[in-house]
Amino acid sequence: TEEVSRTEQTSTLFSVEGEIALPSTRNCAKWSAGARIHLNHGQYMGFVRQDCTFRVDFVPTGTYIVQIENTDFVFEPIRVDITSKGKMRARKLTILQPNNVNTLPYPLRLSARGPARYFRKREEWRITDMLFSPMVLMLVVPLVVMLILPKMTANDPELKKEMENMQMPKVDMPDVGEMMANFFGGSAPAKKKAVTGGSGSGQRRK
Amino acid sequence: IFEDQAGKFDWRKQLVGCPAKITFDKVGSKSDRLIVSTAQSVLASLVLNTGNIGWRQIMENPSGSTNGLTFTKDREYIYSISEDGRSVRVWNKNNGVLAHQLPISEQKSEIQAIHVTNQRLHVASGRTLVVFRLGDEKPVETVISKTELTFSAFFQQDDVVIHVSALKNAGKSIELSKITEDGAFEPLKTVEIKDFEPKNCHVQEAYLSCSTGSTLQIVDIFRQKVQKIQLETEILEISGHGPLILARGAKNAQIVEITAENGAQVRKSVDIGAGEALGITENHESVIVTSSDAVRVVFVNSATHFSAKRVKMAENLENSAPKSIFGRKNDKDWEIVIVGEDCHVEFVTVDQNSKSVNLEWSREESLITAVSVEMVDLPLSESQQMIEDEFEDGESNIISAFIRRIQVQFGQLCRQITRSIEKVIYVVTSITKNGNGVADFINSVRSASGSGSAASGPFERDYFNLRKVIIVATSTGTVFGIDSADGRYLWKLWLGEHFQPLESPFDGEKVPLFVQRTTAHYQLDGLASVVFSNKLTHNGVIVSFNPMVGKVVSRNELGYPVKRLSLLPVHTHKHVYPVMLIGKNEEIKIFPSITPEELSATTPYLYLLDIQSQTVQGLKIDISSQKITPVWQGNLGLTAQDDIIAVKGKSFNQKVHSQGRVLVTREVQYKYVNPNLAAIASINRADQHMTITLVDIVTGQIVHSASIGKAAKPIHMVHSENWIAYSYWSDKGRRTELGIIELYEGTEEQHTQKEVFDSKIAEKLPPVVAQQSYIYAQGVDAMSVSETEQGLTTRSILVAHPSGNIHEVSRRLLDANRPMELTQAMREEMMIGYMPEIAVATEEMINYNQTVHRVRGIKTSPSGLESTSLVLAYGTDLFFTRLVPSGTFDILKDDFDHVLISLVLTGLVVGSYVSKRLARSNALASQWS
Repeated sequence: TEEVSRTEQTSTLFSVEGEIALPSTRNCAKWSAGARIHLNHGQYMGFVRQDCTFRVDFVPTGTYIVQIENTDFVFEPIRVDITSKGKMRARKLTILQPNNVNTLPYPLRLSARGPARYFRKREEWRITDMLFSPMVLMLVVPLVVMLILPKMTANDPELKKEMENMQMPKVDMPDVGEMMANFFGGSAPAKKKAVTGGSGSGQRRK
Repeated sequence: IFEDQAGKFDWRKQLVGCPAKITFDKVGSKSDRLIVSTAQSVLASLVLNTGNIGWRQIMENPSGSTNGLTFTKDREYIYSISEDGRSVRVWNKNNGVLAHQLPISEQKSEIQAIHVTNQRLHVASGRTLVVFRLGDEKPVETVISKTELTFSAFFQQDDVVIHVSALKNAGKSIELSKITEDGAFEPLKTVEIKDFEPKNCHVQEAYLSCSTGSTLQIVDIFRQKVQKIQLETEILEISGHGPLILARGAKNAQIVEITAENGAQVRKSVDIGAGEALGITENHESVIVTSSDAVRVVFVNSATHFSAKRVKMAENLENSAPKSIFGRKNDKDWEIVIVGEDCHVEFVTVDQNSKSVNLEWSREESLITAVSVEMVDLPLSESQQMIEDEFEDGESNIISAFIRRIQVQFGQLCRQITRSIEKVIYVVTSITKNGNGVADFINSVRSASGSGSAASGPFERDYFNLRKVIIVATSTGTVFGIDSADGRYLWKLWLGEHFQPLESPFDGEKVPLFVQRTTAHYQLDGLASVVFSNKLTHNGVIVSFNPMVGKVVSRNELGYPVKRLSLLPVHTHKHVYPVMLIGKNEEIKIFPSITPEELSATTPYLYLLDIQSQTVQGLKIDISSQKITPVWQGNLGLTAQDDIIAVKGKSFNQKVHSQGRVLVTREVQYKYVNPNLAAIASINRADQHMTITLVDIVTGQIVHSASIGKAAKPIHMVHSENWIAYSYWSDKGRRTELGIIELYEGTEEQHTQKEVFDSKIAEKLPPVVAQQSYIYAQGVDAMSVSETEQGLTTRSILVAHPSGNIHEVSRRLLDANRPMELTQAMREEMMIGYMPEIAVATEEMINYNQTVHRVRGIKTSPSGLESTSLVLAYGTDLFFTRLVPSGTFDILKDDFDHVLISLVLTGLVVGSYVSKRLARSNALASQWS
């Protein structure tokens, strides 16, 4: 027993302990078989127990990056500083600014940031994508406007008369005259065709 | 990578390593298992019926010997000593989950012993002896010996546990200590063993057996009595189980039985050849002797025995002699696990009535020591050969050329008809065999079309040259030919029992593998060679074989050890590139030999870099006269404190597609593509500086030297085209960093001032160097670069992580010319601005969630498609996949929507037809009106 206590006093190797918080839907005992703990990218290695706690033994003094190797979740790595007397300090790992200290509690508690996504989404064909693309907006919409409005005015005589009446009160007389002439001129070929058709049928009767 | 591409053209092989200890086990209601501990620190559970891995745990790399983990087991758990003997890990047998981790000692030791009873766990490691109560993590008792131990073992009989140890300077005696119920250690008396040597001893049941010459000493631990037996021949090996001890000599093995009445006496003698392995069943009822072609079962208590012949399953798989056997007896047959010298594991069952050996499954575990990988094209297909024939003869007249062309076309037509007929026959056969309805018919048609390109088709090159033979040479002494389509073993070579790998000062063990002739010459078979060392004479041995079928063409042993070797850049009249082997005293051998007329067409000199501990030397070798001349010598600016870590030259047949790089100012910056450039990385021990020195091997000129402060191992380098990418651990930033060095000749304006555009002139101006560093958030196990046929595709750097992922970093991200501030012109050129960190996203892992552990190297190879590169990562696992760094620009994309395009095309055709009919009827109606 004296040997044991003497060894413990002169010990220069320490243990890094922690706990892993999984989403509540996951069973820890099934997940932890495929998980490992990496200190400094594999310089020291530990395994996860069936209750989702871990301990990495025989770690000397220094600063270490603690990561969890698994294929299901993405975890935030944590930096752990160990002093020569075994005092532990855990802080958030900031690779860009190594001296930045953002202290975390010890023993470590690592939460899953989210599930690991390995695959990209395929581009899917959607009606909305086709309708709202710039080509469709610039070409199809003006075409629709140009085609639909004349048909609307042609089909509705009341609207046509109303448009003619709107032009009448204007003071500018030559404009009104031109429009009237255009209207009459436009309908003349149709009447001629009708007259020709009528005369044809008349001849057949005789 | 997309989800529907997973597993489509990639495969993975998970390995456990070379087995050191195997036990049969039954896990709850599941089928029987094999608990395996291997030389590569892997503890695994294999399913006995299939040989698949049930679970596997990869421990730390051992710092000393490689004899596998020491473990024991009870009904529920496996107890293994880990971390070089400093802790015990308790694993759940069912699923391999860690239950407890028990620290033992802070000192590492290889002298380990572990034992479990119903209530307690006893562990001995080095000078420390610890007793735990099962389930607790605090020890009940700890005893530390003042003296170092050379031997340690536990014995149990009923409820009594005795620990046996041998002290370092105690001579020839062993100390016995009884462990009482409360865990206390009670010393017993000392037993004297004459000429005690731990490596000649065997531990079993209640007996410790040691051999000296032809004398066998058996110590009954619980009676503290020594009995000596004089055997007829010298004892080479002791094994046994229960009350039986097997003492193996050169030609036979004596079976010694220990009984309470008569003590130990020789019961039987079994003849054993040199290439046979000896084992005993777990119920110690029979002794099993296996050789390569037979299994003999010798009954202990009767005069009968029988021998069962083995059927040679695969002609191309050449196995070594068996090394160890683990067997047990069932009601009707024997179940035997045979481990060969080449780490080949197979499980056979032997039936006594039919005298047959049934091979249930086999595993090739020597792939875990893969050190050299090459990818070789398949032979040309028959139609491709016909096309080659068609255009080969250029001197014939026009009539015979026309006749030959007609013949070739007719041959292709016949081949197509034959293939269609084969498919129809396959479908009809499937229907008549399994005809159950329309679904089966559709499945038959689908599998018929699928089998056309699968392994069941002819063994020839496919259309895009994507399928290759992967040749893997291991440091165990095996060479494999693996089909890259599905990872199937095509052939296997065993290089003999005298195999030993070559040694390299930087990379450890080496088995160099050269492809001397590809299958591009369809009249000639491919040729590959592997070079290793003879274990007895230490001379170099070169074995040449056909890489398609694994047939050995020649085997030559040199008269000297190999110091360096190289593939020559010239070929013989049979299109073979010879291999040059150089000894320590400048002996030179060229295999196969090359004649002076074959040499006269090209340069007869070869330049090599010779690195000693203090100096670096450039050598010039006259190939015709076979003389070595030093050309230059220097220390490259390295001091005595510098350790050279890595040397990277250009690859042998690398393609550089573009000679220049277009700048934003529309100038062209020419690349420095010196093929003789070598990059040397070294670390100074005093101040932790890493220096990368670029040397021209021919002239000895130091082209560039870069220094990085506070760098540490691991350091990896990739050298390609005009750039060097490297990774190191930054002690200053305490993170991994990636660096890139790019070399350029200068812009076009500067270039016109030069008289000669030649990278090889030593007196010219030094190249323009661009250098950049990036932060990388993961560790690096291995680095490689993608390769394509013409080098046109953007290159990707592949980085293997210790966590088992392989990350693809595009060259556009790892670029030395990423600007700090983006101007409008740079934005138009789609340049990427500098950011200190290279992001690691899980979507960029080429092996998605198929982890590849302890990657030692990544082999890349071009395929027939310019967009596609083939990748094989090897380590504890093997993983093969394809890589498209710039997308599949030369074939239709995987998500090309055939259905939608077909629908649109059909709609347009139908619409145009309907419109034609409508137009015609409208025209007719208008004419009538």
